Amino acid sequence: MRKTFLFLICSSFLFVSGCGDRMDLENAAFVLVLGLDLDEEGRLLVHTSNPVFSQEAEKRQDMKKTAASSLHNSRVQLNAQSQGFPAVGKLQVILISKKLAEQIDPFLLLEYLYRVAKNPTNARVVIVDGSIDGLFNAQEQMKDKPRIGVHLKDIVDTGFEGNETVDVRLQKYHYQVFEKGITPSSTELSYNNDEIKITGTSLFNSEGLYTSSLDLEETPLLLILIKETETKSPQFTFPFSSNSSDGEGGEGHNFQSLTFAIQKMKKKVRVSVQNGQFVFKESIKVDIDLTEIPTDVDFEKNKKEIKKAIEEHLKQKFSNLIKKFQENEIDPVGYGLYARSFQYKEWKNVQDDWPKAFSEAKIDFNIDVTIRNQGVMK
Amino acid sequence: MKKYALNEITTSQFIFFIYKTQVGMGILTMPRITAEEAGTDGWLSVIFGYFLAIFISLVIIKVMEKYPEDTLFDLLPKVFGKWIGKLFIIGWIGYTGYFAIVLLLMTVFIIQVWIFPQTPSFLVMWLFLIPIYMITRSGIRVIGRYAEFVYFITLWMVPLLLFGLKDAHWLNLLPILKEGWKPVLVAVQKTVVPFIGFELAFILYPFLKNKKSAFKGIIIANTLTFLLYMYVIIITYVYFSPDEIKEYTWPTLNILKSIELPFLERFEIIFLSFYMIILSMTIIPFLFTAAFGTSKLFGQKSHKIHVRIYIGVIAFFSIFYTPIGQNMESLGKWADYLGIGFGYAFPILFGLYVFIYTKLKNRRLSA
Repeated sequence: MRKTFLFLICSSFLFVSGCGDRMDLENAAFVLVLGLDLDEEGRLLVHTSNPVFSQEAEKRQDMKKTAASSLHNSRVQLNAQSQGFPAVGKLQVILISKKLAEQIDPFLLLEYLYRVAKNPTNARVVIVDGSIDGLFNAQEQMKDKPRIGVHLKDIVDTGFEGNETVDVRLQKYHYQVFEKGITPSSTELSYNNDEIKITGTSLFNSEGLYTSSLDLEETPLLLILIKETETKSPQFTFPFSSNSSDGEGGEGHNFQSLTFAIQKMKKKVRVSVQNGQFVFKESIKVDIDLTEIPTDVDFEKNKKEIKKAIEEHLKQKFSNLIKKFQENEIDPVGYGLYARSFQYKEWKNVQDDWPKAFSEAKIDFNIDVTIRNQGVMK
Repeated sequence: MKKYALNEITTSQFIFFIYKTQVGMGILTMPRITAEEAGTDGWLSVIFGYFLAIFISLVIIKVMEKYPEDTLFDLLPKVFGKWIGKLFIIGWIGYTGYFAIVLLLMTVFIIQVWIFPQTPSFLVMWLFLIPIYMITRSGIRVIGRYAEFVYFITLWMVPLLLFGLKDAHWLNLLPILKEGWKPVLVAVQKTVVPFIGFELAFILYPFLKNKKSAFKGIIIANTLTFLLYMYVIIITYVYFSPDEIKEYTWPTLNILKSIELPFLERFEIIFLSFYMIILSMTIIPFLFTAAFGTSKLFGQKSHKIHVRIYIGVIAFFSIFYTPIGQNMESLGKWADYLGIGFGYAFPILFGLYVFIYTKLKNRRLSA
């Protein structure tokens, strides 16, 4: 008798489970892409795209646009748009137009996504060179491409795998904004009528505003400095001719260059303070594979020369990169972390304006290259 | 004759009983509350908290060794006399009952924030109360077995946090003692409450079959808790920036949230669902102690009817009360005070009193 009673009570709970949070797939609009832009009058434009599953519908995706008079208003609308936002939980990509990022700290607009537990923190943060409207329209015309959410996600993910850009998700962006010793960076896209492509990395200053970009050649260098290249062996190439070669390489000489892939990397940073100026001594040890050598260069004879040239080349590249950072007063690498860890007293004086202190710092590179192999050719 | 022979527990049940009582809310909030006081030196404070907990645990066992057949509730009237003893029992019932209720409300609150924002809280509460009732009414031995079960069924959750290490910034931990010892010592007061749970040895000791292993058992339990806390704290410290970690109410869950598998998102929902099992094993011991206390207070043998009353009252009032974040904070603060009072101050004072009391009694007997 008692057991039946208990059983009945328990089974009655079957009907109540999750009644308030129930969501039917038919009624849900899964927002895969969220775009933030400014119109001509400086008002905020919020774009969304969600896939349409209905077979009768001609379009495979539903793209929406709302204007908001102020930031606050837009946030209210983000919450209130009943059709567009019930299921932002599957968000894959957040697009922010460069125009907006130059004027407003995008982080302020995204607060809502962090606060509500339902929202994902794995969406990719992407800066778009151009208007979001244009991107949406262009993508819709591309008949051979999947829905925009999947399409953009694939582009960004393969871009990261190919060392073309940084992998910054909402969670990491939050970290970069709050960490005093680093300035934010994110993926950058551009588009035309036929294709959407990654153009590198966008960099933000300490106020959170867009300041400059790294192109496809500079981005791998940044990735090396933040140690995110471990399994992806970035390649570098530069023209090389040997002194000892007879210089009769013919016409082909100009087309050939020295190419190498970085396989293994070790990095060590020493920090000291001299006369109030931070001095970073960065020693990088890399193991490389040569993947292309100009035909008129004899590897065995010029081994040392090649090694030296590569070291010089990398050093030059890194120094130029750092110069660029310092000119813009940004520190996307996070040298501030080293400063805090090893020179805490000095760091405390400058921690609230670290990028400024970084722009006056001195950074020395010491690069040690080991040529692991030169391929199957002699 | 042994009073509690029917309900004897083994040493491993004793260990897991205490260990699983200690591990609960602390895992979710401790990284933040220690970082608020001591930055990334907070892990040093945990070491101090650990030694403090060990010390108090040993005091408790020392006291109980003198009266191996009595639980605290038998002992208090013996030592203090009937009426003052009863007053202390009421205090203990209040403390453990309050802990059980606060933990229940916090669990429901977390579930509401993270998983079911729209579902009425009393439904979650009722569903949660069913297993809690079924285990609590069955007595110490079943709870001990449940503790073992909880340990093994939730073992897989520990390595999940290692996912966080792929974005680790180990430099966050340096320099050690960046602001000196003072903030570290201030943060110790925040680390003692997560160790609360060892004081239930006051109740458990007479049930323990092999009394010689009590020392060893309670040290192992505290050490397991300590290692787990260190593990969680270090991972959260290296994952979040020192300034960022204070932004999250439950930093541990935010790490889990960032786990992304190709076929699965929002990993923290799975984690939290299983974490409710762990949380239930912190609530059950406190609820049991409260019910056990009231049954002793009224001189009744069985605590079952008291468990029923407690559960009934909680279930009834949960219809009218929905947990609110701000309330949770103040309720938690009072729980901290009570925990420090009954878990740390009481054993020391009581231990001192008992030692003096037995010395005087022995002298009187020999005189």
